[in-house]
Amino acid sequence: MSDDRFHACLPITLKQECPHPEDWNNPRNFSNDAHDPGGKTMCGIIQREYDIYRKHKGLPARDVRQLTRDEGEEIYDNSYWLPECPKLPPGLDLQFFDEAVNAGPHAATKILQQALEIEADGTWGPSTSLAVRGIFNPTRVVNLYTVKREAYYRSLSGYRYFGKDWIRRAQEIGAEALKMVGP
Amino acid sequence: MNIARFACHGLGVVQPIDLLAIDMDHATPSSPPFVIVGGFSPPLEERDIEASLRAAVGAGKELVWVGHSMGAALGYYLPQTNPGWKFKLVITVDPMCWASNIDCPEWATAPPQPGRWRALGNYDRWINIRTRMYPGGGVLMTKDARCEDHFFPDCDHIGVIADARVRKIIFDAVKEVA
Repeated sequence: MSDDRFHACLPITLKQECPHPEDWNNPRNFSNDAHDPGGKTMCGIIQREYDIYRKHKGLPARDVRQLTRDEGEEIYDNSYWLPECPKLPPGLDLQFFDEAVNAGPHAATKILQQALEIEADGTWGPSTSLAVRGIFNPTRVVNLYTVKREAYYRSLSGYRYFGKDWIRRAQEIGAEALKMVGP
Repeated sequence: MNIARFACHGLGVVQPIDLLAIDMDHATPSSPPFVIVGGFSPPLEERDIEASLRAAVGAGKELVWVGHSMGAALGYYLPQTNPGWKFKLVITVDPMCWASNIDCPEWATAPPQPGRWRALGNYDRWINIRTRMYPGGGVLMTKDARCEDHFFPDCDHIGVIADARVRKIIFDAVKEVA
């Protein structure tokens, strides 16, 4: 696992993904929401993602309800935390991670670039790295990330159906991120 | 023909569209391969998917779209929000019964009826395929010679893509614009 920051941020994002983030085996962390036609999800991990993970490990596919904590943490770490989150200051790493989990790393990067007020192409390159190293007011960037994240959601056709949850999530994560920035 | 073809997954459901796209590519070797999109979450990927289509349109191409479930919903939203784009063919496979695009701009004052979809934008042909299985079952309401609404009550939401009758409809239409 990457680092302490990952373990600080993961439970906060997991709270958005499942009702009992402290107990990976709790059956209430399983959902098969009809609004998610992909169906089966355990602790935020969908069956397809679990299948790919198991295949990559040379293991037979199995129901996502059998997801273990170690497997789940490895998926979150490798697929969403790495490689970018360790480069970000505390707070912003949580926001980036949470958006990567929710909307994918490309969207998370694009929103970060908007918050850094650089060209937003969704690809992490030298200009993004440079802008991240140059952050001198993390509170401002965290607040901007929340604003840009909300704007991104509002731009989507699905906003009318999912918008309330998307905005709540962006605001809750933004508030958690501000606590991490410190004085 | 100068076309760009896109096949869009539903949320979390990739294999049926992957296989369909491969078969459609084999059936129409002279056309550009289908670009598969929506592998993460189609509603949240809308901007990226839209950018891919915009690039194709910018290169002078007309569009073919085949989408399943939430990818079908995007098939309704994208032509609606980009009326200047030319769609040669839109195939929407089992869009959601709980969503809609009808009267989108007036959403606040005239809520659409869930599960009722309308073909909007600039298109030559629109085929909607639906089941009765939640969360699919969305109906194409547009009455127009360019529009077809096919109902397969014996199919389920995921399996509908692999159904032989459904595949025949899709393949015939795709070959026609290949």
